[in-house]
Amino acid sequence: MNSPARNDTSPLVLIVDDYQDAREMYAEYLEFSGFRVAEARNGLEAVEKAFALHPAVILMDLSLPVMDGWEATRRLKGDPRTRSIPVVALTGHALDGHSREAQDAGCDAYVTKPCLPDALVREVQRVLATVSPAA
Amino acid sequence: MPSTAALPSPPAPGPEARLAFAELLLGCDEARACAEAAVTWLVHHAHVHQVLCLAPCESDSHCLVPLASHGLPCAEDFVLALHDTKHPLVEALQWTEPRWFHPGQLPTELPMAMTGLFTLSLGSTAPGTPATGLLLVASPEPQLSPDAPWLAGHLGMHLTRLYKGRQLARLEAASTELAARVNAATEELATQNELLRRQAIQLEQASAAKSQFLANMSHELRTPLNAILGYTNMLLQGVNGELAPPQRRSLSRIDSNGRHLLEIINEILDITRIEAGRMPLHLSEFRIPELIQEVMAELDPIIVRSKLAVSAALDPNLPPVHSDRQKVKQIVVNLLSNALKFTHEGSIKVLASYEVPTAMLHISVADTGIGIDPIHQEKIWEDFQQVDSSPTRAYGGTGLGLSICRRLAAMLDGRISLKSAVGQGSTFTLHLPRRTRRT
Repeated sequence: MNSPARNDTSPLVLIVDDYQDAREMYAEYLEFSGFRVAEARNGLEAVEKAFALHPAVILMDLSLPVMDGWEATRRLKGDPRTRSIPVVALTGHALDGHSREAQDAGCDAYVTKPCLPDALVREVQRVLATVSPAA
Repeated sequence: MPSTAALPSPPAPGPEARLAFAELLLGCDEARACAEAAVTWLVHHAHVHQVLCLAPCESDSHCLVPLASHGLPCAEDFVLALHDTKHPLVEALQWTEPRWFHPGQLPTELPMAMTGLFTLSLGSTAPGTPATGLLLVASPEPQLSPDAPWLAGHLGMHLTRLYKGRQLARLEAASTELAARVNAATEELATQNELLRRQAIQLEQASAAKSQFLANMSHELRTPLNAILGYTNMLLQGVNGELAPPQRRSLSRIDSNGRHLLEIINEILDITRIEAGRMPLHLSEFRIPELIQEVMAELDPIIVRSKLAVSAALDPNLPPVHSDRQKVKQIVVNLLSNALKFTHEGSIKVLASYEVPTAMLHISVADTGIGIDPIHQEKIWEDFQQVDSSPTRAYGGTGLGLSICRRLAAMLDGRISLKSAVGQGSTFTLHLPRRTRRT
């Protein structure tokens, strides 16, 4: 996975996306912006990494192989160990219904791709600012 | 109408005579046989001395031909009986009731043929039409046997019945044929309807497939575009180190073209969503001045670059609006962007007013730009259409903006109007109801 960030106390962001170029792009920019980053390629991997690493925030693409982002979010929000981790849904589908379904699954925020790296980082910062550091 | 001398009603014949005559007539189903039998019967049983039975000629319905006769010396000494007011002969003569005539009192409208028989015009009847019942009963005495008029009437009625029966048979045959044709036509129609219904379903499916395809395609296009725009953005931010000015310029071109491509994809997606009925309405209460302020702030970089005098004049009494804020904003952004794009000098004014009686808001963007020729003022609302859509056109864009605006306005129960003249500028106005009803 990714090289550790410069600072072990900086927040860990778990980025979940099956599209490698997008995933690595966001990872690179998040690291550039001072975050630590972990990556997952599908919903199942996301759930496993969330349990193992307990990230500060999860960026969740919704259309994923093996287990989709909605199901992964439902599992994370259904487990007391990961319930408090904010999940930002990330999708390229702008069709109606996706945002509602994402909310229903328990996503805390919703970002539509294309999303520039700096805009995504601003969203991560906004979400982190609204949750208590104890989460 | 000729003078008539109706005979005093003769007493009705006895029951035996009636029965015998009725049986005689019932046994006949052909006019000539019927007439011959009747004449014979009249001579032998009713003591009638001279009988002439006439009917229209089957091959030429304009002529009367004798069907049967007995002891008739000439056609001058007889009584003419026409019965049944519905009889074609009677109708042709416009008689309203049966009349009896004595010799010498013949109706003048019955012309004599050379043969001494009558020829009447009955109108056209097809060849093979059965003979109808005109009975001429001749007698040397003015006073007939009391049976004669009654018998003559019955013979005529029977002949008429035969005629009508044949007519009925022909009518039934024609009716059956017509029914068969109607059935065939109905079946054909049902087949066509089914075909149309299937075609409609196919069209609907094709349209849904098209929408789904466009939605998928725009998603598929946006995924790599996201990476292109993202990496470009990162490079421009110096994530991978500082850039030399030429590299920065090239990357800026990639960035602006990528953004333009994204805009096109988003517009196609918008059209697709509206057409597929999948563009959701998010109604809320909001104020127009704040919205216009936001739009102008968003377009500020372009406004500054344009060096045009861009101003807003808003009615102070604008009420809050209940509509879809994002869609109203999208329309105003689009109209103002267009004004900025097509105006090279002068000014752009954004006006908003409220019309109390109709509860309509009018948001106008008035420019002093190039204007639109009346012959192009319809075309600009269509998909992918611009006044100049040629490859060498001076103005870029997808030609989808106004088409989207028009659809969005319709979704909000509103519309967009245009006033424009070449060289005079254009004024686009969004007419928006204060409250959009959720459909």
